[in-house]
Amino acid sequence: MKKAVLVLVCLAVLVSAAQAVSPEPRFGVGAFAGLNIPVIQKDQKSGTEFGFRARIALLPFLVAEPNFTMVKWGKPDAVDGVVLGIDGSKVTSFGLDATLGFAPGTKGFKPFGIIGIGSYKVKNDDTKYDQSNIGFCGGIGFGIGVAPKIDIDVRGKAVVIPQTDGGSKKGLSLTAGLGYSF
Amino acid sequence: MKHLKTRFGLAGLLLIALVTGGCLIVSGTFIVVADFDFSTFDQDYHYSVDVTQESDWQDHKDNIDFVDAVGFQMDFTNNSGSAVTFDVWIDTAGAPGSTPGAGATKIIDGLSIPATPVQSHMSYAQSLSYITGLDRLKALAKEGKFEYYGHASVEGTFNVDSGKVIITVSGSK
Repeated sequence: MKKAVLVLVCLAVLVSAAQAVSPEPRFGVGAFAGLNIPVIQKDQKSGTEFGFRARIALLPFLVAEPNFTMVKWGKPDAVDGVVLGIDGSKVTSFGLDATLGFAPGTKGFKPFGIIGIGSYKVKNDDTKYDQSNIGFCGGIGFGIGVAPKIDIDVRGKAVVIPQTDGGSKKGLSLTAGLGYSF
Repeated sequence: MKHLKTRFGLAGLLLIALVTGGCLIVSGTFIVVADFDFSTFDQDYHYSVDVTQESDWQDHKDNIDFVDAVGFQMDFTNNSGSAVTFDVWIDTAGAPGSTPGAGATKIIDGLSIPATPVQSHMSYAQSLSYITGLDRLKALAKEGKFEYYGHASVEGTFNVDSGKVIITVSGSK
């Protein structure tokens, strides 16, 4: 409950800041899908990712993006002749990214950098692995304004999810999507 | 144009910082596989599991943070004509005896090996659904060594032909 209240307060502050300083358009929504490649993880293979994001333009070049993402990694390869036969893990996250670059909702080619933080749940029903931790991401992307309020959004992010007992799960996210600004 | 360069520069610096930070925390998840070579005593099977000499374990032994999963792959021959029940215990490496002692933990309880087909196989994925006592198994697996005890409900017409232990570990540097 406390976390939900904190998230709502943060969103309210972001919205207020956007209204105070940012030119139109200030808000947007988007959906995305693509590929997620686990990094240095022999028990997973590449899988799919999809999600949704909101966009709040705080400054002409700074956009806050609350987002929800679901990842399903693929079945691992055989190891030393042993067919593991298990599914890849599922990763569910609620995050807040900040993009630094051109704001959405305008025409043209718009590159940007990305940093973010989120709550990531990594779960595998076969191995009974189940951990939720704060994770971080960073990357680059670009938007293509195809209409006054519609963007095609392409981005690549590296995601690092520290584990409770040390080490981390890492993945490379490559997604494309659409955004609508208003 | 000046603003464009500034923004690209800032984004690039952010990316470099993130990548550099990530490179400093080189961690990953690795899988170690080792074969069993059982000692058999009537209905009892014993093996002192030791994965510490496996190359993947050697590469990461000083930085193992967590055991993600432990499972087994086993092959059986059952000529008894009826289903055979197989139980498995584990104990700390060096525990005395070829049968489970008071400190052993049962991790597979009542695995049923059918009579047909005569030769059957328990995959790694199947073993994960049977295993209990997972916390103790993971704790012992993190050491790289533990004692493995099996017990079949019949002798002579049943045999554990082969086995492997598969340990998934996460480590950092």
